[in-house]
Amino acid sequence: MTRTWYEDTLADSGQIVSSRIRLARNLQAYYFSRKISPDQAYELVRHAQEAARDAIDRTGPLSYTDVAELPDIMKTAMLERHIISAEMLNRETCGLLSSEDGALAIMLNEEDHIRIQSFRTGDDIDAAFEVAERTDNALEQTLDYAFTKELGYLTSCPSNTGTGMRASFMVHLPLLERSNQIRNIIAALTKFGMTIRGVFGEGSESAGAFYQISNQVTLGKSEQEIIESLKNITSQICEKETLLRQKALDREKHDILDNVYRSYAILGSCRRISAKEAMSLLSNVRLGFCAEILEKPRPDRSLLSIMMNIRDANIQILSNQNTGESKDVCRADYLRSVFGT
Amino acid sequence: MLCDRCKKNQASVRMQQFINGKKSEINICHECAYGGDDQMNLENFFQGLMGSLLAHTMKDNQFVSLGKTGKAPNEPECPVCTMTYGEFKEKGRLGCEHCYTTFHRQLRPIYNSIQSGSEHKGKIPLRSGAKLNLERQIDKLSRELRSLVEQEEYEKAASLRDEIRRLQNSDSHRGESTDDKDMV
Ligand SMILES: [Zn+2]
Ligand SMILES: [Zn+2]
Repeated sequence: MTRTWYEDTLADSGQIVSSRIRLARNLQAYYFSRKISPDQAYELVRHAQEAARDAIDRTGPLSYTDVAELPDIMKTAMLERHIISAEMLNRETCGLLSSEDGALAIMLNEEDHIRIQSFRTGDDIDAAFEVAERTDNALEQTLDYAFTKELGYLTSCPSNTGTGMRASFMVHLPLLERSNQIRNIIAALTKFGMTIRGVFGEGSESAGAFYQISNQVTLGKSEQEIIESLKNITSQICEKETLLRQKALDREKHDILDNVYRSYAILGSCRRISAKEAMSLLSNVRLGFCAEILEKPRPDRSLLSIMMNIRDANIQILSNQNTGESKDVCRADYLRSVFGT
Repeated sequence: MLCDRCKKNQASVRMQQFINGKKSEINICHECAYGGDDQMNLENFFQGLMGSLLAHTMKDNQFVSLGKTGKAPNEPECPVCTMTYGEFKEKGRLGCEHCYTTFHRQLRPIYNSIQSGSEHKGKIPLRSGAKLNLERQIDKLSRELRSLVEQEEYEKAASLRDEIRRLQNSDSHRGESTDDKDMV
C-alpha cells in the first residue's frame, strides 16, 4: 500500500511541517459556484473529469471520489486532513480527483470550478509548485479557463483573482506562541500581503502551535514573486523561533526537558484524552525531536499523520471496531499503540 | 479581430450576451470595456444591453422577475448571470466571469486595498493564451532593447531586435495581424 504524503517523517524534521500550492481555476461557459445550476454543475464535473483523463500521461493516475455521495463522517474526515474544503461539505455535486499518495488533489465544483492542490512534506514548496503547474498546464490543454489579460484567472471570489494561487507553509512555532509574539507577527504580515492563521484548532484558533503562513495577494505579482516573498517571510519567522528555542534551552533546560518527556509518557499511557490535550502533548514531543533533546524511539510514521488521525472524525473511522467507545477513549488507544512500549 | 463596438481598436475582452434567450459573443477593446471614467465605459454599454434584456424579461413575465430579485433601482446587475451588486456584497462571491466586467468599477477599490495593484503579472494559459504569452515576451524584450540602446550597446541591441522581429513574425503567421510582413 502506498503511504499517503503526510506519513513521510520528513514532516517532523524542522519548523516547516509541510508546503502546499493551491491554484483556483474556473471554466468559461459555466457560472461560478453561487449561480451554477444543478445540471451545469453535473456537466462541469463530468467535463473536468474528462480533461483529467486526457491529461493522465502528465498528471499520473488520479482516482475520482464523488464527495457529495460520501457519508458525512467521511467528508468531515477529509476536511480534517485538509483534502477538501468546508465549502464542499454541503454541496450537492462535487468531487475530488487525487493521486494515490494524496499529494495531488483536485477539487471539482468547489468555491471555484477547479482547485488544484499540491502538497509536500517539509520545506519543499518549489516541488509542490512544479506539480501544480504541470497539472494546470495538462488540464488547460482541453479546458478553456476564464482568464483576462488584465485580471488573470477569474475566480469566484475577487480576492483570488490574478494568479489564483495560494502558496502556504504549515509551520510549528511553539516558542513564538508561548511568548505571545505570534500576535505581533500576525499583525505585521498583513503589510507584506501575507497571512498567518492557526491550523488543527476550532475555527482560526491554533492547536499545538501549528500555523499556516500564506500569501494574501494574488493580483499584481507573479507566482514566482509570491513564492519568493513567502519563503523569505517564513524563513525569518522560523529563524526567530529557533532563536527563542535556543534561549529557552539555555535558561530553562530542565523545565523544557521535563515537559517534553512527560508529554511523551502521557501519550504512551493515557486511557482517555481530548483532541486538544493530545495536540498540545504532540506539539511538545515534536519540539523535543526537532531540538534533539528527546531520546525516545520515534513513531514509525510522521507526527503530522498522527495529528490528522486523532481528530474527531478520523479517530472514529480509524477505530471502527471499537464502536460504542467514546472518541476520547479511542484516541487514547490509538496514541498508546503509537507511543506505548 | 476588431472591436465590435468602436470598430477601430483590436478587441481584447470577450463577453457573452443573452438576448431573447440566445447566447452570442461579442468582442470589444480594452477602451470600450473599461474606458476609465468617461461616458464610453462598460456600465453604459451594459445599460443598453440590459435594456434589451429587461424588455425581454418584462414581455415574458411582466414585472415578476424584477420584483423577485428585490433589486434597488440603478443597482448594477450582471446581464449574464443576474447577480446584483447587493448580492455580491452580501456573499462576497461573484456569479460568473462577466460579473468582473459588470462590477468593474465597484471591484477596483478591492484590488487597490487588498491586492498589489490591478494588473495581472502572473501566468497566462499556455494554449488559449499563446498569443498573449508571445505579446508579453515581445514587450519584455522591447523594454530590454530600449535600455540597451540607452546604454549604447548597439551590437547587443541589434541581435535583440532580430529576436523581437522573429517573434513578431511567428505571431503574424499564427494570428490575424499581417502588419509586419515587410520584415519577412
Ligand atoms: Zn472599441
Ligand atoms: Zn455574472
